[in-house]
Amino acid sequence: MKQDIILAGVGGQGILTIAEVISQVALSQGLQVKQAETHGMSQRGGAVQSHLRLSDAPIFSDLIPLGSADLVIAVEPLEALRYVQYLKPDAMLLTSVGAFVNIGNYPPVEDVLAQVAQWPHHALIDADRLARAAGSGRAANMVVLGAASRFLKLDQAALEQAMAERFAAKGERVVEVNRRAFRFGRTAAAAYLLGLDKGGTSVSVRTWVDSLTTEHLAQPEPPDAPYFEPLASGEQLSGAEIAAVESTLQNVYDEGRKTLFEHEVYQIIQLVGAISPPKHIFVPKDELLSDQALDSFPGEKVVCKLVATDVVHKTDAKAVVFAPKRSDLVRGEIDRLMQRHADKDVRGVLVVEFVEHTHQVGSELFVGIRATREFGPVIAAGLGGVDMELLATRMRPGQAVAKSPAADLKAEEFLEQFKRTVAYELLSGQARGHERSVSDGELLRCFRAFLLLAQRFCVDRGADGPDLAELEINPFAFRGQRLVPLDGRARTAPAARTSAPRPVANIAALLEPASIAVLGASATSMNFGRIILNNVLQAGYDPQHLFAIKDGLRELDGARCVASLAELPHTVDLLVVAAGAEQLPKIVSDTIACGKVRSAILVPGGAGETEGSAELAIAVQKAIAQGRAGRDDGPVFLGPNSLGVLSRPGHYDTLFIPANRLNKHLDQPARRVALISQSGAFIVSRMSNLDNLNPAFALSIGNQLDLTLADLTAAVGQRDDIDVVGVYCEGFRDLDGLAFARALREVTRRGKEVIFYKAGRTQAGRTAAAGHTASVAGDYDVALAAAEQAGAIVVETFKEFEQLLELCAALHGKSVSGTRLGVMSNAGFETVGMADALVGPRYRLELAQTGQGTVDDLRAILAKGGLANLVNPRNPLDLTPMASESVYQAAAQTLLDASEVDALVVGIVPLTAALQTGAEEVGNATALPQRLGALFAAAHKPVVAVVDSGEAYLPLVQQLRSSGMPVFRSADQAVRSLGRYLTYRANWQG
Amino acid sequence: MRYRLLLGDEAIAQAALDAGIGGAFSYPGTPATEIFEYIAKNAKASSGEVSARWSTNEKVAYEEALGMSWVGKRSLVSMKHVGLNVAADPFINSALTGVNAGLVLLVADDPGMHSSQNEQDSRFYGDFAQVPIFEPGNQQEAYDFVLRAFELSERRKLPVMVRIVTRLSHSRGNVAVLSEAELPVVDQRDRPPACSWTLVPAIARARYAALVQEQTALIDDALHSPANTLHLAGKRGVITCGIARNYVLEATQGNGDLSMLHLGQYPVPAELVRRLVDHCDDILVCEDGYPLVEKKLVGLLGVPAKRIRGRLSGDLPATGELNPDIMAAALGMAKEAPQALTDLANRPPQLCRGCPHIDSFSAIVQATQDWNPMLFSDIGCYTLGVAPPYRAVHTCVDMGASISMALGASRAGAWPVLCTIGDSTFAHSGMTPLLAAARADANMTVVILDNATTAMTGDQSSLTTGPGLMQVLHGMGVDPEHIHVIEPLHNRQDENVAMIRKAVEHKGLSVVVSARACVQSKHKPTRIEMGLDKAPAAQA
Repeated sequence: MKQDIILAGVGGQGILTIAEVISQVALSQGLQVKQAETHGMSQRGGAVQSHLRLSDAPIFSDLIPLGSADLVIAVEPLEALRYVQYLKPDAMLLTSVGAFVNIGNYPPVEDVLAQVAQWPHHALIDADRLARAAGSGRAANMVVLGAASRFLKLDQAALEQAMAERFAAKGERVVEVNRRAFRFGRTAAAAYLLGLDKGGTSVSVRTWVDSLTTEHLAQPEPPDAPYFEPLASGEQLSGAEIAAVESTLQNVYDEGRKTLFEHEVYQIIQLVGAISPPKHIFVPKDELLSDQALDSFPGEKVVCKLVATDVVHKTDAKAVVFAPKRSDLVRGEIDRLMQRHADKDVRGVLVVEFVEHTHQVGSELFVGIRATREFGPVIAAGLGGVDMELLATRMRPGQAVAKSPAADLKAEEFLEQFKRTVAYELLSGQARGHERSVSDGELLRCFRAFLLLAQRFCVDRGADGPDLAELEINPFAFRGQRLVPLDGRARTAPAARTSAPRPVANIAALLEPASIAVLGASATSMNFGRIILNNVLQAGYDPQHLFAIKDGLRELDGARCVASLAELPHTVDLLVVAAGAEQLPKIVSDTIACGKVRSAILVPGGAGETEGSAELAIAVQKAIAQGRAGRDDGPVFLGPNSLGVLSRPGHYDTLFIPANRLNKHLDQPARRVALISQSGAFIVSRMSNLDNLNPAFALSIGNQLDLTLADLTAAVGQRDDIDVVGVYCEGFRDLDGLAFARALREVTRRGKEVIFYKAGRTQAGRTAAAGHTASVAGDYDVALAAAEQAGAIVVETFKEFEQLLELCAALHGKSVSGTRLGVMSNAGFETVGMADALVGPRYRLELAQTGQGTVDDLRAILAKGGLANLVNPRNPLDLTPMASESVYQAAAQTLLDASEVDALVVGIVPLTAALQTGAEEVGNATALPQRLGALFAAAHKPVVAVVDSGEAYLPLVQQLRSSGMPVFRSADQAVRSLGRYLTYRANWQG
Repeated sequence: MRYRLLLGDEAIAQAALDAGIGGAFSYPGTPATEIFEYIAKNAKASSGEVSARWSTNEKVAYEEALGMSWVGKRSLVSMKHVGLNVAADPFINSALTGVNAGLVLLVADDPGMHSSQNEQDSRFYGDFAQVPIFEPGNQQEAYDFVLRAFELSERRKLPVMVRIVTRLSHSRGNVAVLSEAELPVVDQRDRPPACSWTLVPAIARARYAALVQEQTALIDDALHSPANTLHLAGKRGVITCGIARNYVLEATQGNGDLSMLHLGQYPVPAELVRRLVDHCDDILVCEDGYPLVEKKLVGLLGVPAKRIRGRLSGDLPATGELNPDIMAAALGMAKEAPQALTDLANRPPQLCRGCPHIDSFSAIVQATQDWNPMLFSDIGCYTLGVAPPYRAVHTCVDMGASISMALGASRAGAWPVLCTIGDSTFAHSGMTPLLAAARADANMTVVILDNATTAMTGDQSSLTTGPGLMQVLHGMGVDPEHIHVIEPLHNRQDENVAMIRKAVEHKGLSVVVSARACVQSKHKPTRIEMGLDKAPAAQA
C-alpha cells in the first residue's frame, strides 16, 4: 500500500489538522508516514501546502516527487490547482469550493471551479456551507477530511475516531459538530461523484448537492441522484460565489473602509462571472508600474484613475487622466495625479485599458443596486454617464431610469421594466440615429447578476459579514453588444433589519371588537378619553360591552368602570389608551401583563414623532418587546399618536373629533372603502371634503411602533366588505415598505383598488457622498415605483387622491373594457379641453370614434331638440348652451350605449337658462341630477360629471353626488383622473 | 521501544527529554521553535524537573545552557540558523572552555529561505568552532543522534552541534522512542575545577591547544560512527549529507548501481571519502545547504582524473532547497509530470484580517506622507508591511537593527527617521541601541508595535509588553514627555496620525508604543495588561 497526498489551502484554514489526523490513523495501522508542512512566514493568508506520504514500506523523501501524487485534498479551489504538476494522471483532485479571496486578481470563482472540473477525477464540495449546517463554520476542514475519507486507503471508522479524539478535550459538543461535519463531507463527496455519473454538469450537480437536507447528509450514502437536465445557469449565486464576494467585502471591512475601490467593485462583478471588466492593474502608492505590466494592456492608450478613500466622483475631482501606452508618459501622469491630490488619502492609481466610446446620450448605461431602509434591496438601471442625474430628474418617472425593489424581482421582469425607458429605446436602436449597442441577452445577464447580488448582499446579513449598501456601475460602455464597465463604486453599511413579528391575527379584534375598554377618560372634564368614550357610544356601540378603566367610579357615561386592567371581568378585544404619553411604557407593560387585551389603540402623541421624544418611543418598543418575549400571542398596538379608528363594521368610533366638527353620517350605510393613514388629520380632511365617502374603516396608524402600515393594509385589504383602500404614508418602519408592497400585491390581486399617496419627496438620503443609485432611485422614487408595480394607483397630489378615491369608490362595480372616452358638454371649451387632456403622465386615453349608428342616433336626438344646425353629431359632442335636459339625457344614453365608447364624461356648464341648475331647481325630477343619476345607476360603464362653476352651484354638485356619481369641478381634471383610473383598470385588471 | 509520529523538531525534543536534560533554552525562530515548545509542554517542564523558559535572545539562551552544564546538568539549546550569529560568541568560546554536563546545540537551517533572511549553513560554524556535528537525515535519526550527541558531548567534554533543516524540522515521521526502562542513566556531575573556564589568555591558550589536539579523536569518532556509512557498488558515486540521502534514494528507488557515502557526523572522516573517490570516477556531492563537503573535497585544485559534481560544479543548483526532482535530474532519472499551471494568481503571505499592524502602518504612512521618511524596520510579522498597500518597511536586516540603523541615519542628519520594531524583537536586541539613542536624545522616532506576543513564530510569550515595556522605556531614560501610547484601530486613525506627527516633529528621541493584541493570540491581554488603561490604584 502506498498513497501520496498533497494537502493545499491558505494559512489558517486548518489543512495541517487534516494532515495530522490522517497521519495518526496511518501510524495506528502500522504504516510508515511522512508529512511535510510548509508554514512559518506563510502562517496566515499565504498559500500553504503539506506533502503527506503513507506506505507499508520505508519512505525516503519527505517531499513527493513531481508526477507521483495520488490525491489532492484542498480547502480552497485556487490552491487546489497550484500543485497539479505533482499529480499522477489518474489522481483525484478534491477541493472545497470556498474561495479565499485575499488577493486583488482572484479570477471568477466559477472559472476556477470549471478548471478543477476539467480534471478527469475530481470532487467539489462546499465545505463552509456543510460545516455551518453541521453546527460550526470552523469545522470546514473536517468536512474536507470526511470527503477525503472516500479516497484514502485507511479505515474509515478509525479516521472518524481519530478526529473525535483530537477534539475530545474541547467537549462533547465540539466533537459532535466535527463528527457531523466529517459525515456531511463524506456523503457530499459521494453525492457529487454520483451526480456526475448521472450525467450532471459540475454546476448542476453542486446545485443538487446544495439542496440536500441535513438528514440526507447524515446518511452514510447519498440519496439517489436525479438524471440531470442541463440547469439554466445563474438562477442563483452558487455557494462558492457567495463565499467569494463575502470574502471581498470582509477584506474591505477589515481594512476599516466602508467604501470599495473601483477594482474591488470590478472584482465582485467578476467573481460572480457577470461582466468582464476591462484590463486593469492597481498600482499602489509608491510602487511602479512595470514595463511588462504596461505591455500587457491592449490598445495604444491607458486610463489612469486615482484611488483614494476620500475621492468619490473621480471625474468631477479631475482624478482621471488618459495617457499613451508608454511607460515614461504613464509614470509621469501617475506622478502628476498623485501630486495634484497630495491632500487626499491616496492609496494608489488604477491603470485601466482605454475603451473607445462616446459620451453621447444613449451610449452609456447605468446599473446600480442599493440597500434601502424601507424596501430592502433595490435595483435601478437607466441612461448612464455624467448627465444621468439631470436626465433622471428632468424626465418623467420611469422614463430615464427603471427602478424596483429587488427582493422578489426576477431579471426578466426587470428587463421588461427597463424596456419601457428611454434608455432602452436608445440602447436598442429604436430611436432615430441610434444603432443597437447591447443585446437583450447581455442586459438580462447583467441585471440577473446585480439582482442576485442585491438579494444576497444588500440585506441584513447578521454575523455573516458586512452588508452591501450600494454597488453601481456608471457607466457601462459597449463593445460588440457586450457591456464594459468604465467606473464602479460600492460601499458597505449595516442594512435595515426586519422588526420582530407581531401577532397580526389580533388585528381582526381591533377592526371588529366584541368588547372595548377605554383608559384615560376623565370623570370631571371632557378630555380626549371622555370624547372617545362618548364617540364609541354614539357610533352605536353596545354599552354592555364597554368598560372604562377608572378607579372609584361604578359607571361613566353608561360604561361600566373597573379599577384597573387586571380587574377587567374578561378579555376585551380592544383597549383605547388616552393617557399621557409619559405613562405609555408602563401602560403597555401592564396591558401585556394583564393578559386581558387583544388589541390596543395608543392615542397620545409625543412618542417618537417629535424632537426629544425618541427615548419614549424606544421605551414603548422595549416594553412591547419585553412583554411579548417568547410568545406569539398577546395584544397588538396601534399608534401611538393615533387619532383613532372609525370602524363601521365594528360599530365603534374612537376618532376624537367632536360630532359637530365632522359629520360622519353614521346614520347612512358605510361604503366599501377603507382609509389608512399615518396622519389622522389627513383622514378627517378627506372625509370632510368627500362628504358622501362614508368609509367602512378609517384607521389612523400613528407612529407604527408596533402595527405597521403593511400589517393594516394586509388585514383590511383581505376583508370581503372592502373594495377600495386609500393609503396616506409618510414613512415606513424598517423594511415595512417591502412588506407593504407584498401586501399590496395580494390586495390588488383580489381585484381591489388601492390609492397610494407617499409624502416625503425631499431629497432624503441624497448626500454628496451617496452614489448615483441613491440619487436616481431615492427612497421616495422607490416607494412610488414599488407601489405602482404592486398594483397601486399612485397619486402625487391630495386632490388627485380624493378624485381617484371617489372614482374607485363609485366605479368599482362598473366594468372597464378599454380606454376610449365619450365626451359631451354644453360648452365648446370643455370638449376641446377634454380632448387636449387625453394623454398625460401615467395614462393614455383615446377619443371614441363614433360609428355611423351612433352618429345617426345623435343626429336624430339633435334634430328633435332643434339643434341639428348647431351641433355636429359626433364625439366629442358639443351640445351648446341651447341644449335641454332631455337632449342631455338622450345624448348621454346614446354615447354610453355605443359599443365604441368605454366611459363617458358629461360636462355641465350650469350658467345657462336651458337647464334647471339653480339651488331651488336641482331637486326637480326633471333636473339633470335625477336624469343622470338614473343613467349612472343603470350603466355598466363608468360615467362621471363635471360642474365647472362657482359656489352658487354647490347644490347641483351635491345633488349629482347624492346619486353616487363622481363629480369633478374642472373638465380637464376629470379627464386626467379618469384617465389614470381607466388606464389602471384596463392595464392592471384587464 | 514504541513508535510515535513526531516532527523532526519533536523527535529532537523527545530525545533531549529522554537524555535527562535539566533545561531547554531558546528564542523563537522558525523552524526551530517547536523543539522548545515540545519540551515546555512536557510534564517534566510543568513539574519543574526540566527548566523551560524562553530566553531574551539566542546569546542569552546559549549562555544559560552553558551555566547549567557548568553546575552539572545536561542542557539543550535550540535556535534557528541566524540565531547562531547572535550566539556565535559564547558558542565559539565554549569550545575552548568545554562543557561539564552534556550540552547540545540544536540549530535549524533554512535552505530555500522559507522564512528567513538567508540560508546560511551552520555546519560551517561547527567546523569553525572545531566541535563535533551531527546531521540527522530523518526523524528517527533526529531522535537517535541527539541521544548520541549528549553522550559524545560528555565523553569529549565539548559542546556538540546537531544540524537539521526546515524540511526535517517540519515533517512528521515514525520514530521509535525509548521506553522509560530503556533510558540512559545520567550521572550527576560535579562542578568543573575552579577557574578552568576562565578564558584569560594563559588559560585560553592551553584550552585551544587542547581543542586542536582533540581533533584527531573527533575524526576517529566520525570514522567509526554508524551515522556515517559507505556502500561501494558501481563507478558512479554519491556523497550525501543528512537529508539529501532521502532525495537520492527517492529518485533512484534502488536503481542505478550507485556507490554511496552518507555523512551524518562530522568532522568529515577523510578515510571514508578517500575510499569512495578511489572507487568511483564520477561523484555527485549532495548537501542541503552550502557545499561544505564538496568544497573540502575539491579544494582549490580539484581531484585529478575524477569528476566531482555538486553545487559548485553547477550540476546541482547553487542555491535553494534540494528535493527528489533535482536529484533525479542530476542523476539523469527524471520522470514525466504534468505542467504546472503557470498563470495562476499568486497568493503571497499577508497580514491577517484585523491585524493591528495594518492600522499602525496606515497611521505611520499617513502621518509621514508629506515628507520623505526613512522607515527602518525589523523582523516579525510586520515585515510584511514592505508589501502594498502599506509600503511602510524600507529595511529588515537582523533582530534589533531597526533601532540601530535609525540611530545611524539620525546621526547622519537625516529626518524624518522612524523605525518599527515588535515588542519581542525589542526585548531580543532593541534595548541596547535604544539605550544609546536615549542617551544621545537622537532625533528619531521609535514605534514599538506591541502586540503582546511573538506572533510570527506562533504566539510565544514576550518579555517587554504593556506596563513592563513602559518600565523599560522609562528606565532607559527616554523622556516620559515623549513616550506616547496609541491604540492602532481604524476609528482612531486621526488621533494616531496626529500623535505620530507630533512624535516625528519633536526634535529628539520619541517613542510611540502602538499597543493592541495580536488577533491570532490565544491569550487575550486586558487593556490594563496592554498598558492602554491604568490599573486602578490599590486601596490604602
